[in-house]
Amino acid sequence: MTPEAQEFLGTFVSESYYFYASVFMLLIHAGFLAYEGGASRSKNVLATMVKNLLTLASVGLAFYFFGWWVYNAFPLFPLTGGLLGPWTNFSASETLTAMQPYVEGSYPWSDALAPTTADHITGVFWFAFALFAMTTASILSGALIERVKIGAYMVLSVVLGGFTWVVAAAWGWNAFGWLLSNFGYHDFGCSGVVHAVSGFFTLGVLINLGPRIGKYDAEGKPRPILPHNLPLTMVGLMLIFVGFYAFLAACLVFLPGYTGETTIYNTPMTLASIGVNTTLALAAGLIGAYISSKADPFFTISGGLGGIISVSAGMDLYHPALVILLAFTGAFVMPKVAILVEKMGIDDAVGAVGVHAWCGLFGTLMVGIFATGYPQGEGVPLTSFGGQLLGAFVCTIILGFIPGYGTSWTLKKLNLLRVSREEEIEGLDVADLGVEGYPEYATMSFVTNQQVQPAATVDQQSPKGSTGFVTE
Amino acid sequence: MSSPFNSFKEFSEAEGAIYTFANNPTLIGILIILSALVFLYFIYASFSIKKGQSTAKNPGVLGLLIAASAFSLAESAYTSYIEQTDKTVSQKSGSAQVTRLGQGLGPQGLMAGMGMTIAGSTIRGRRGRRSPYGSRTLNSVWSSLRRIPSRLFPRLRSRQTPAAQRRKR
Repeated sequence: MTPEAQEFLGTFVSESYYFYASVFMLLIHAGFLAYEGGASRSKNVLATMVKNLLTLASVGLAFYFFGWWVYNAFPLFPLTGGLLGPWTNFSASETLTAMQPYVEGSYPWSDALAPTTADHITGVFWFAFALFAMTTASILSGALIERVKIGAYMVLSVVLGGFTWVVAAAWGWNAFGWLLSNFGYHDFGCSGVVHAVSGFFTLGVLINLGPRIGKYDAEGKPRPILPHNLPLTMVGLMLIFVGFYAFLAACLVFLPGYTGETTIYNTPMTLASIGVNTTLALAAGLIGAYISSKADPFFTISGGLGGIISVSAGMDLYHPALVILLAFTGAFVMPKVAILVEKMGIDDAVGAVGVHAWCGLFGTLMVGIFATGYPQGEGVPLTSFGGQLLGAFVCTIILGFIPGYGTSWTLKKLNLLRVSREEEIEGLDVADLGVEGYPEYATMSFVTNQQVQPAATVDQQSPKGSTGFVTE
Repeated sequence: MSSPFNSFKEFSEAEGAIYTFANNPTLIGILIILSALVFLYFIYASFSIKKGQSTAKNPGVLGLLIAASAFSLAESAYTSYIEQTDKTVSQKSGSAQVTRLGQGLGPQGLMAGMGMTIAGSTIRGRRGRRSPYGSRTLNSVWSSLRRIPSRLFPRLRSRQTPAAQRRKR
């Protein structure tokens, strides 16, 4: 094999690794689709799934137009430099010179994102990051089901998936980010920059969105609104688990010419640690939530995800036994957090705040206790609790809660956030899409019409005439 | 400090273990025992949790175990940091600082031991009240668990990073 062929083989391996990892990450969305669809009531199942599906469109396009540039332009801003773009003099410092190809490769008009034999990698990285972005927005999607306007969700998904989490990643998940260079922040598997950001963004939105009709009784006590298809929800979460292996594998950096695998902070790690630690975190998370919720199926399977998120930030450094204990603890507390949120009058339909906000925050902070003192570059502060605490504050409050609350408050004031009471009672499948998810089944609308109309006329009276039953 | 490395050069060129507490096999042993206890508690609890209710007579045990474990881990991490900074003392000792559980660990060993004892005694107590056969079985499991550290630590010692081993020498 010629040296040129060997060199290209290295490029191809790297290109293929991220490409297929990103393809598997799409399973996260298939999982969220099933998870949310199952968690909704039968009158909202299609609208819920379509809303989630449209995340791929809103965030994918937003990430092309400006998200990818935000990731490469914001690492220095505002602490160690300004926003980087066509106006920047990249020869002013060594750091800027090193960042130049990344910034110039992130413009929508850049050659790097178009077919070019001069750059095989940038487009694949864009693909991987776009999938990260879609995952972040999908976390929001489930919590808002059954009462949010699709247009409002599209705006919120663009703000979260195309901007705020990307800024968090630029600051804390980028080799040039100031949270790393100035404070030694470490968040290998994105406990903070993905899960805490999206979980707290969701919390801010839920406060303005309000609970579903019927969720609370006259005294303000929560009433259960049960998933219409819990098995579908559980299958969805299994798909999410599969996708998360790929998500975490895509956090590993292996570029042409490398002699080892590294994290995005350029510290050594192994793919094996992801395999072992993700599996153990999943197992321990299931156990923690199972015991804590006393075998509640919904919380138990969510506990698997909670366990993974609880250790994601330090997964590259944790011993497996430590992973078990941390994942167990994070997932054990998760149902309590979800119930507390519900008691506070916040209707989180899928427990996103408990799973992503709590476990993301917990995972970020635990690095500051159980993985302290790691050097991440010459002149970079060691990993510490202070650095993790600051990173957690930035992710949860500055880039999570405040943008979520602010954007949803604006939409609410413009009367664009929530569907009307009539539409919510009728169900969003009919109100938004004009079709029922289960036209041939005995849905509530079918039963209601059957009670008030002669049986022979049921077919004409049901919405859109879509019921296929002929009854005596 | 839970990192076994002193500099970025040492970390980036490491050939061997890079995980947290790689230079503290005692603590890793404790973590393994605690995680095994969690697993055993899960097996036990899976018999008593039904239809959203737990028939366990003392649900506070797990919370106490977690609290004791967290305290012992935090204290171990702190002690590890103190030991690293006190190079003079470690050079004079001239030997690995691995000790048997409960003998030389000080407060953190005591706390970890307490957590395990509480869990073990409660499990024994519960099962003992129900069935003498169950009690005997759990007693033997508990006895086996108590023998794990002495068997496990020599193997763990050999998995330290070269840098960590050099430091201890």
